[in-house]
Amino acid sequence: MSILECRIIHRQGKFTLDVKLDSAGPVLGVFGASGSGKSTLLHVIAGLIKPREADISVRTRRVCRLPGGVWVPAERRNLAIVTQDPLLFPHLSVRGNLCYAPGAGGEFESDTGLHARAVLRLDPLLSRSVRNLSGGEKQRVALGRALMSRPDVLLLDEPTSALDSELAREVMALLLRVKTELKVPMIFVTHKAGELMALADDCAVLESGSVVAQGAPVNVLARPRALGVANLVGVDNLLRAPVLRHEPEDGVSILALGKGAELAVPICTADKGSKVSIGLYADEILLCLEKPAGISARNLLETSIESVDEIGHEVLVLLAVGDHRLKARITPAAAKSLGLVAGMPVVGVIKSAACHLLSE
Amino acid sequence: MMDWQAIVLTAKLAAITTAILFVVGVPLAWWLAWTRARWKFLADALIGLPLVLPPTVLGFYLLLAMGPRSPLGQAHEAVFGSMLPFSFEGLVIASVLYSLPFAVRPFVAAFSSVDRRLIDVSRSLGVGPVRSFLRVVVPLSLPGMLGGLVLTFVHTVGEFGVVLMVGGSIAGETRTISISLYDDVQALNYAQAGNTAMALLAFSFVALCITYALQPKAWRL
Repeated sequence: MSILECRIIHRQGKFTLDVKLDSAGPVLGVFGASGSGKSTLLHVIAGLIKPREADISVRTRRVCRLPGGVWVPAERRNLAIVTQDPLLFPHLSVRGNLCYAPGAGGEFESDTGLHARAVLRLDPLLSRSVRNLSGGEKQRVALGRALMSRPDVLLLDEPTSALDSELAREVMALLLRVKTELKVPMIFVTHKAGELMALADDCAVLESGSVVAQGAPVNVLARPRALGVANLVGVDNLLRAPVLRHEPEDGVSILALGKGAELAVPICTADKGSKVSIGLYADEILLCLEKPAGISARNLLETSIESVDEIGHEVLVLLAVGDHRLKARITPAAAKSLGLVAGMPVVGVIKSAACHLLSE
Repeated sequence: MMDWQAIVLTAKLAAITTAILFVVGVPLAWWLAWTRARWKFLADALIGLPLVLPPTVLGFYLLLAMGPRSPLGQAHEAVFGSMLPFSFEGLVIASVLYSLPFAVRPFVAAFSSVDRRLIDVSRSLGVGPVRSFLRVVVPLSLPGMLGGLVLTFVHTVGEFGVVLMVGGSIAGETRTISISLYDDVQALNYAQAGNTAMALLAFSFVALCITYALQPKAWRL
């Protein structure tokens, strides 16, 4: 079933949101940096911002068609929103907040309501004033309040951003249970790739108000195809280098990294001499003291080590390759057994398939 | 012996003025608290004028505006058959304008202290804008609004200059308690003036105590 089908054009000052998005969910993740328009998109879907031009259906129910005169106001969309700030009603108790929505009192006592209260551990908080709750408790109450309104789709606007990392993990675990046990569809906006991987079934990446990528999170985020996405996800190595030649029979294109160094990448359509962008995770680079023989990897780069830094439980090795620098991530044990130090020559082993061509 | 007629008249004037300013002031303050209109400063300045303007200036213009040759004066005479200046109705109009900032400014402060996003949340939970206002904004801004009403009432009780200009001192019609005090002093009737002054002082002090006691204790989370 489709949880969202939308086409939205909305201008706000100099910013333009221009989005076309269809998703089967049940959890749609919207990923983007701050200022990418993801929060605006969610507020337009919620009916809290009226766009200039839009056609929006949520779970096949049309809630907006402008121009055309269809505009279902926020209170009749049945889409509860939970934001970064819990925004609890300060004059009401926890119970008062949970039972705020029309019909929430009945839902509160029903089987699904009881289940939600158990998942979110709300019962010990019921008689408390919301002003004395901790940050994590407040967000649990905010989620509970939204669920008690029996939303068709739960809208989540960076619900963990205001929490420290431990509480953020706790809230993510709760959201996973809300998804799997209570089966509430969600549209989940975040700038944290890990949260999307954990929760979303489908993921759209927003950049400067447009969708630049969409698909399963593992495909969109772990193997990014767009430079913007790679930047957002934090791909360790982003290279821009000219195409030296294509080798179609081998299925690779060769890039010039400078000073005679070459990099074989999956074959691309760029013209010879034009520059392409490559994303490469630091974990995908193997280090050898000597050039290995009989190996499938296409790239055996003779490099020298610029620096070796131990950070927590991993070691980042910076390699000089032609005019570029590559980060390789290995374990402290590997660094020790190879005796890696700055200035040492090593061979960087890279599968060409690990080099992701990025569109710009 | 105090001038009970003046006290009753003053209470009536203050009550009517406060009621009118509640009805007019709430929507006006709501608009002022949320609007992003560029000319909002103009509205602010106009409403705030009575705070700085000599009451005689306001009284003078009100006399002109209500005079028998003005549209307002003529309209009133056509409907009620009487003139506005030196009447109770004229006094009510003057009081409403003169006390406007004493109601509107506390209302604006009260509304501004309510996080607007609470209304968005309320609406997304299925509660319409009017009910959201009643269930969220009103309870959260109630102390500030009550404060504004008390302030309006007290300020109307204590006004002098505008009343003198617009209403004069007609017993039972326009002679309020502060005018009565002034008349007593003019008549060298110091004992009665002293009683009235002491009563006004006590009343004003108690009212201010109520206003400050009502000030909201940080509702914010």
